[in-house]
Amino acid sequence: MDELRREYTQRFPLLEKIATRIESDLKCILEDEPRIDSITARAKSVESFINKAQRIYEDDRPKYEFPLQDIQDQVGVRVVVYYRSDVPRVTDLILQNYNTVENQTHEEPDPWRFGYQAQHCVCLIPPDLFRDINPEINFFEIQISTLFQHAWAEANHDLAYKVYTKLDDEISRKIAWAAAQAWGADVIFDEIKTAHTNEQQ
Amino acid sequence: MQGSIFEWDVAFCAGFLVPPCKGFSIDVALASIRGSSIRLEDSVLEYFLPLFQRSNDNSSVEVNFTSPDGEQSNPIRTLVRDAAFGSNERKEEVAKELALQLALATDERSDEGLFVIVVGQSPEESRVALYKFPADQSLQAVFQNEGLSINVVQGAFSRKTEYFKSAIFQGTRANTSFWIGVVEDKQANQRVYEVSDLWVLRFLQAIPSLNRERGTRVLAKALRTILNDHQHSEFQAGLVAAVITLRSQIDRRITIQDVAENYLPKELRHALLGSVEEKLLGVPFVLSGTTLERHLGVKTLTLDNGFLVSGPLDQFSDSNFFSERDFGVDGSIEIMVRGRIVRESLSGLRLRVG
Repeated sequence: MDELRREYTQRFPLLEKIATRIESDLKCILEDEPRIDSITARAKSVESFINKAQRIYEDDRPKYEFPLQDIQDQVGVRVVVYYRSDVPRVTDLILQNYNTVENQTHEEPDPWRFGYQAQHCVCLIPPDLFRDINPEINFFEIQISTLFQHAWAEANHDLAYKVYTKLDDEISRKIAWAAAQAWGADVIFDEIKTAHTNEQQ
Repeated sequence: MQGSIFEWDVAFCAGFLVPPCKGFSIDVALASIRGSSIRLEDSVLEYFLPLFQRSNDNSSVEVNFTSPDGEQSNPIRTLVRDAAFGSNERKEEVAKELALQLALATDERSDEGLFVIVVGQSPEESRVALYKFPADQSLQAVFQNEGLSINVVQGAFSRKTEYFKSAIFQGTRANTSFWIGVVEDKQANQRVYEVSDLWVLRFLQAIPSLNRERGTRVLAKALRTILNDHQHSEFQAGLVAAVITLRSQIDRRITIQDVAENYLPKELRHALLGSVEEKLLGVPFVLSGTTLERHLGVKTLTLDNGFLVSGPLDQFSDSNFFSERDFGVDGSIEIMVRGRIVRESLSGLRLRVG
C-alpha cells in the first residue's frame, strides 16, 4: 500500500492538470445550455484514492486488483442542473462529445427507500486533451445531478458515506427522510417548470 | 512459444477463410468459415512478426470499443480479452468466434478474406492483433483436413504491399484495460483516409477516439484561432470562404491535414497544421455542420435569387457592417453590407434561379 500511495502521489499533479482541461472542455460544450448551476472537476485526493483502493468484497477479495487502472474516477466532474428534466439533455450532450463506456442512473432500486441519486457517465479522455502530458489514465467520471440531489449528497457524504462505524437506524432513517425531501422538491419544481413552459407555448 | 521479437512472445496464431455472410443465420455463417490455429514458421513467421511488433505509424487511427448498453460491456472486447488471457483452448474458441463475427459483418461487396489473429505476451501486458487480408494476395491460405496453412506469395505481392486491415489491442489484466485500440486500413483510398465502416463499426463495434463532435470542435477551434490571429481582411475572407466550402463536406469523413492542404489559402496552411497536435492531423472524423457553425461563428444567408451573404457571425449584429430591412409584401428583404473588396472570383458555372 505504501508503493501504491507513492505512485498515486506522483501521478496526482498530472491528474489535476487533466481535470482542469476536462472542466474547461465541458464548460465549452455546455456554455449555451440553460439551467446549469455549476461544472466542477477535481482529481481524487490521495487519501480518498487509498481508501477506495482498499475496499474489499464480502468474501475479502480486493475490489480493485489493479487500482491505478481500475479506479475510473481519479478525475471526476460534477455537473449540477436545476431540474430533473434537465439531466437527460445534458447527458445527451455528454454522450455526443465523449466516447462513453458507462451511462447509469444511480438511484435506490427499492421504491420504498430514498438515497443517493445521480446520473453517472464513465468516459474515455479524448486524445486532444492529453497534449503534452500522460497521467496514465484513460477514463474520467461525470456525475450529473440536480441542485437538490447535490445538496443532499454533499451533506450526506461525510456523515453516512465515509464514517467507519455503522450509523444507527434512527440516524439512517433521518438521512433517508432528507433524501426523500430532496426527491420531492425535484418532482415539484419539475412539475411547476413543465406547467409554466406549457403555458407559455 | 512459437517465436519472439523484442519484448513480445507470440503465444498463439489462428487463421480463418471468411466469406461474406451478412444477413445469413449464425449456423450458415459458422459452416461457411474454415480455419484453425496455425504454427508460425519460416516465411510466414518472417511476415507476421514485424507486423505484430509494430505499434503505431502515421496511418493508424485510435479507436474505442463502444458500450451500447451503458454498462461497460462490448462483446468483441470481451473476446479480445479472452484471447489475451484465456487458455489455449479458449483462444481457439475466440478465434473462431471472431471469424464468425467478421463473416456476419461482411456483405457481398467484399470477397472472401483471410482473417488472422495473433496473440503475444510481454512481461506485463498482452497484445492481440487482428488482420484481414484479401484472399490470394500477399498471403495464400489453404484449408485442408489437418487445418489451415498459410503461404506468403513470393514475387506477386511483396510484404511492402501491406494490403490489409488491422486492429491491435494491448493491455494488462486490469478490468478496465482493452477499451482502446489502433486500427489501420491499408485497403482504403490513401488520399482521404477512411476508417472502414465494416472493419471498425460493424466488426469491432468500435468508433474513432476522435468522434464526430470532438473532431469538428478541434478543427473549428483551430480555425477560430487562426481567424483571430490573422486579422488582415484578405486572410479573413480566405478563411470565411474555406468555412463555406467545408460545408459541402458535412457528414463526410475528413482530416485536419486535408483541410489545411485542400481548403485553406496556402499562406494559412502552416498556421493550421501548427495549431493542432501532430498526432491528430491525420485522424479522420465525420464533419458536423452544426458544431462547425456554432464554434466558428460564420453565418450565411442564402437568398432565393442565388445570392449568398456570408461573414463572421458577430458582424451580422454590427450595423456598421450589415443591416437588413423588409422590402415588399412577398417576404423579400433588402440587405446592406459594407466593406472593401479584397478578392473577386468568377466561376464558369452558369446558374439560373427561379
